[in-house]
Amino acid sequence: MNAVVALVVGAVFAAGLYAMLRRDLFLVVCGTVMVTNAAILLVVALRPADRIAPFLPLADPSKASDPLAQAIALTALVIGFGTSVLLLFVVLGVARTHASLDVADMAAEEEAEEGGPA
Amino acid sequence: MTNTAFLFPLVLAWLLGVVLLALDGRRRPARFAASTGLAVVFTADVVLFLELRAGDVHRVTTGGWPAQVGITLQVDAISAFFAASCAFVALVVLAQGLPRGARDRHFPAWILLLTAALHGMYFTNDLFDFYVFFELGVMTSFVLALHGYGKREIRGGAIYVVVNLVGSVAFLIGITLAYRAFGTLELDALTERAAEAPPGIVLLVGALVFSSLGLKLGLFPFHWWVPSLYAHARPAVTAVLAGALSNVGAYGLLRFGTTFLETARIAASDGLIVLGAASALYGSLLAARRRSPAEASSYAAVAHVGYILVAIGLGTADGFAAALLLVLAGALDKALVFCCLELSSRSRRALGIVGACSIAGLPVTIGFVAKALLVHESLASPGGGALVAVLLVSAGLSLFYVARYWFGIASWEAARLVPAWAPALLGIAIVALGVWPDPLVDWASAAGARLVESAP
Repeated sequence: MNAVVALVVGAVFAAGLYAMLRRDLFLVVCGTVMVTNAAILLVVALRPADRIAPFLPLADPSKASDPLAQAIALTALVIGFGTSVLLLFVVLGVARTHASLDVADMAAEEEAEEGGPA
Repeated sequence: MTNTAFLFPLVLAWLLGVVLLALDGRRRPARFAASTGLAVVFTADVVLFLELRAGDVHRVTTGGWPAQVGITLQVDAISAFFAASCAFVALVVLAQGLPRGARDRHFPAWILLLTAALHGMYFTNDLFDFYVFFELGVMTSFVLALHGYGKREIRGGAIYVVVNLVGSVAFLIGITLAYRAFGTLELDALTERAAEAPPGIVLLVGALVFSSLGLKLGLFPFHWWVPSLYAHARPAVTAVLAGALSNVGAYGLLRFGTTFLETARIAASDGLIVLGAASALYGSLLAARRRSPAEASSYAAVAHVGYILVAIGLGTADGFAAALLLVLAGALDKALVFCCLELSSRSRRALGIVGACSIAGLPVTIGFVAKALLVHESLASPGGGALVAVLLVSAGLSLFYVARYWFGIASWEAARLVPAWAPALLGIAIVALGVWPDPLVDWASAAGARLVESAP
């Protein structure tokens, strides 16, 4: 079970990193969201597989999983939503002002404005 | 004083920020409410600092829960010191825009929310709580960086946003691993358990936390977002991001590096010193080469965090003292050089040169005091000769930066001009602390000694 979770987290993380290194800004944002979610998945995966959900009343309290890890995951998820919205506003802004989402185009335009690389 | 009264600055900044979001920040009553509120926050921070300067601690666990279940909030003199410096910078930036009015309705609200987030980070004793406020600070700083929402701001902001989100993820993974390994997120309990843990896991957590905080600081290998953001964002925004927000990294390194990551810091101390020296040298070199005052100043900021890292890497009582002084000096002088980009050309030169001199570490400024202490402490360390040589070369290069700033600023085209009285407060603070640094230096040495003693 642990190996499966580790592989899934690793795969999501790697896919996210790959997307972040693309030239398309929208893919960069998707990659950022994936990397964030890989980290949250890691938090959830802290729970040992043989535990039960920590809802009261508990049949066997010693078997309950740690609710704090899940609280952390929930908080991180909500924060992740907020940052994703902000990121999409950046994409929107770039699309409006540059008429392109290619990172290389942005860099070229910056150099043109400032008279070549300093 | 009831046991929760010390949370007053945090709560006030937070509530006022939320209320101001609903109001029009361009109108006079809202602007005055914002700056009065910030002035009260700053005063409360100073009162806390004076009250706790001998080493006392205020602490409360929320909701009446036992410690480690509820979130522990805690203030000591170092937290209050950082909080007061960030509140002062925020106050000056807000007051600077006051007479002519902010251009955007939410600018005062975001400044207050950023102040609240910084207070939250400084006032907590819980790693996850730190992360939550860290994210709140990151989000408000995104909004501020994009402030204006023009082409330049978006371009500089895009890099900053993506890079800092990666930093946040590294931090989240770090605290997740810490929780898995040590079973708690409360700093005191973490410190006890980490001291008995195998060093491998502490080093791993330390590396993740260090990368994330280094990114936030704008340290040498993580610095590439700094010039692009600082040169593109509005000067007022840059002043508050460089002066207030980047100190979070220094606070985290000091706080975590002397508690649960102590073993990792000691194991990596040579690495920290080398990285810091490289950062100082590289930043000064590029600051001397860049023509635009905003860009040169952003590389000077990279050099500045290098000094802080060297000071923390030394790990002695006076090393920590130098780090504390450098943090204050950096907050004041970085905020000043960026604030001055919005002044009329005469007051720009007169005030800006004070800030630039403090960054370069020339006498009669707080920057000189901080760097003199750092050089003095470096000499005593093993291999200190080479380190001091690097620091002095970097200081020499920063003289070129002062010249660049002095000559470059005349040709800088300000988007708008504001009166000089608010930045003048920063200049006065820099010179006053440079002329009469004894009480502050005494406190910093004592605080540094306590940090060394409290280590496990």
